[in-house]
Amino acid sequence: MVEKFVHKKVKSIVFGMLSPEVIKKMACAKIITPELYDKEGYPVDGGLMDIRLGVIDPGLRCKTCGGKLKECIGHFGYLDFARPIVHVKFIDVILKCLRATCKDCGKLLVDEKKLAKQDEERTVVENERDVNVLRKQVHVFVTGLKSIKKCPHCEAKQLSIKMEKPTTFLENEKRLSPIEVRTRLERISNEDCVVLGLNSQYARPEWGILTILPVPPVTIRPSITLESGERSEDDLTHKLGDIVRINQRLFENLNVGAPEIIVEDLWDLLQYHVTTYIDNSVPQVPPARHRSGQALKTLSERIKSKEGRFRYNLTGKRVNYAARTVISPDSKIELNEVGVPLRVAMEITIPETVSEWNVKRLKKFVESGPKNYPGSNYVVRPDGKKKKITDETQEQLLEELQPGYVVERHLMDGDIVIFNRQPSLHRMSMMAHKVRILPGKSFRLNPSVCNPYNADFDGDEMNLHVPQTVEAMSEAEILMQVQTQIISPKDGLNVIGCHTDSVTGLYLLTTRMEFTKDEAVQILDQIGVYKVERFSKFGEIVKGREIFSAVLPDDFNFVGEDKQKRKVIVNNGVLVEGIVDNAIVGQEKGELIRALCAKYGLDLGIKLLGQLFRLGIEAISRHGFTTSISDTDLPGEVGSKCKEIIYNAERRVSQLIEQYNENQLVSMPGLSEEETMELKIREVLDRARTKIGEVVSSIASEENPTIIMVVSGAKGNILNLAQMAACVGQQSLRGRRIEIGYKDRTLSSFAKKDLMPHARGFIKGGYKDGMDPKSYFMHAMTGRDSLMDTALRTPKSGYLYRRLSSALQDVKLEYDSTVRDGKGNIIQFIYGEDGLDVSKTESGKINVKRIVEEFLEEIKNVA
Amino acid sequence: MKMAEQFNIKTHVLVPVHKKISNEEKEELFKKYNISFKQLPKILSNDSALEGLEVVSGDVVQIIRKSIDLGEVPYYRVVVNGKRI
Repeated sequence: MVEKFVHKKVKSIVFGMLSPEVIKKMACAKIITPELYDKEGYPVDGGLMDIRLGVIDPGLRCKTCGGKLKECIGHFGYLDFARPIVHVKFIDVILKCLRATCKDCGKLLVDEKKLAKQDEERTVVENERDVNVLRKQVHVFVTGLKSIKKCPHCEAKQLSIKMEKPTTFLENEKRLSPIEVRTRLERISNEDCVVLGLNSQYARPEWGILTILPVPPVTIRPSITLESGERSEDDLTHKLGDIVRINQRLFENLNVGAPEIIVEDLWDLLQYHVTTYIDNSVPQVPPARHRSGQALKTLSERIKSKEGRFRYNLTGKRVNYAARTVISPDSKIELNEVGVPLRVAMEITIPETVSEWNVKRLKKFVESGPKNYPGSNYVVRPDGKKKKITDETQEQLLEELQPGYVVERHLMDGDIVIFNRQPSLHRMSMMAHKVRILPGKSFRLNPSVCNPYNADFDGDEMNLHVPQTVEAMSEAEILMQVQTQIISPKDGLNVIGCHTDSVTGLYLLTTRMEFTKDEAVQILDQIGVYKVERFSKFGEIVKGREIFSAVLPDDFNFVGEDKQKRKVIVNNGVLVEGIVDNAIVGQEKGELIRALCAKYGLDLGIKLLGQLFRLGIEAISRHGFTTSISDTDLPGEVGSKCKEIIYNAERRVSQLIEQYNENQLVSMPGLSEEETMELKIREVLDRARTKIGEVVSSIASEENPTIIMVVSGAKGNILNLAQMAACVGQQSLRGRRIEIGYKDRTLSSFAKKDLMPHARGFIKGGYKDGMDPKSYFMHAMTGRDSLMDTALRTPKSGYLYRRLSSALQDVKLEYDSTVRDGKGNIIQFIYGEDGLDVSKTESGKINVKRIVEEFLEEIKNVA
Repeated sequence: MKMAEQFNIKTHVLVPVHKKISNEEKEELFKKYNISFKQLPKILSNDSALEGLEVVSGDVVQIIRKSIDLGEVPYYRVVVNGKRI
């Protein structure tokens, strides 16, 4: 195909209005008839589908450029209006211009002195500030002119001009015809245009009143041929047809000298059609509809909002080489792997260029064809022709295959792919994984990487993209792989770590578990530690801690604190002191994980993390772990102690209420007496629940599985346990005790103005004891409230995030260490005003002391 | 007015030191970052922190902020006419 188009580089873009002259100049055809096709189905000359406007039928040639379908990009036409029509999108500008200028002489309603002052101020703003400020300044000045009643130049009295939505102008309640408006706008001088904020070269005010309409090329409004052979026209063509038809009738009526009312009616109708042609969702204008009742999608709707050209087609493009299915967990694969179903692997391909050295290997793929794995689906010849491998073409392709050809082979183990879960809120939402082909139909991922994706397995689906060039693959591998994302850029903590069962498992392992030598070796084998020297020093009985140490590198030293702030020490790869829990290996906490990654690099770090994770799982499955209702059993004396605490709290509350009723309560600063009482009651009840929590935890045994989960930090806290065992506590609605319901009371079961805890949503018993209907109702109230809250908050925060990311999307760190926006404006002189890369710090700080100590140690070793 | 007598914001701990820089320093700054004054962050000339500095629009002020890790960090703003709007 011969390219006929001139290639030029865009230097700048100007937005403006089209003048009638320009419209006429760029047009290739004058549209005069609403008919589309003649009896033979051939486009009518001067119709809306005129072949001078471009071709959409195969076989036809464009009359303007001679190009065939796909060669001709289409050409504009034009349409002469019988009477001028207001452009809806420019009514604001027109109104501003009408109000700011004299109705008789067309000059601005200011004297020379004020004009000069405004000119001066405008230049200052123009030079110092940006366009937005300039726009605002001009707007303030121009709107200030509308109150002037007399023209300072010709002394003519100015009447107030109003706009009646959507497209009419009123002067003292009398309608101004578009003709009148246009003549007034024409009187405005080019110099005055500048003051009004218009560049007369690109936007004369009278161009906002249309005398001539550009008719877009047929290529942007192609018709579709239905199976029945019937033609279905585009929405725009429909609308343009209406415009042409009414315009014709208006012309005819004008020519025969029809009465003014008929002309006015037709004029208004034409105005309506042009308005809806430009924007079919103008308020107060009934949208034009299909016969089916569906609103037409006209010019504005094509561009605007989520389904418009920008957000739907330009910023969000559909891609090939992508897959999407449900995800499920597999802790046996590595953290930086993703399990890909075989049927996906056989559909998605990777192009490999044939060379002397790989021709043998690639030939095998072609031999296997598309139906066997690993095979290939396409072969691309050096001239760019893509050939599908089928039974017929296979042999021939195999024969011609030589260096320079490209084989599109199936996805295989070890290929780099990009894995993603929406909403992609941070960079960890898209990470590169290595492929692992697995049976089944779901993507498999290691449960440890759920956290950065915010994924779970209740039916979540994820997307997979396959980079198609070596550049893209290596870029993904170096910059996006899971191990490069362990440390979060927001706070320098690890987003990936052990969680839930794995944490419990490691806790059990390092506190109480023992194995025979055989078992220990088996465990290490299970988690992927194969080196013999790792378990050569094991005795007959192996402690869990020894197994943990066997995973760590031999030269690893570490001092940290566990959840209880007790010391955890690793010396030369041996866990000598302390218990491993969530604070050591957990996600967003694990000190050990950060230390491992810092010392051994991310590649080894992620491998060790995977092994530790699997070790936890292995330990917990060998130990056995279950929680049950009896975990929350309380010994008799503890139960009565809890009851006592609640009783005391209730007594204290009734004292407070009494004090309040007798006006003896001293109100706290900023609060009324009632509020003071409420606050104090809440305090008392809160304290009661905390106390119960303390009592419950003080008697809980170390062997209680629920307690184990709490202590290891795997899940839950002591309050949850207290809620189950002893007391659910106060139900609060919008931060207060429950107050709504019946008049002066929450439920009809209570006396009016009863302020006692049980009448205001305090639940005495625990979940295990069950709730009475009143408590249950109050509990359901707060439950629903929080459900509503989350349901309403999610879309709100989503929109907030969209705006934020749009505002910041071009901001980047330049080579001169400044942070700048898209225009090169400086935002910060040093990144973060401290020049720190948070992900390289220890939770936002630099530990100078440790660095110095390490350095001294190093020197000592060298010397 | 009474407020202003009692309370001088320039002595407040959270208000960093603002000072006008000379023309030579200005040129140097523009050269260092290869920018024109339009690309600098702005400060309105009627900003309270500029009181008594005798700056006009086009001047550049240096703001010395305190940072935990770097000690003192300079920031620059170009003074912009803030009388209107």
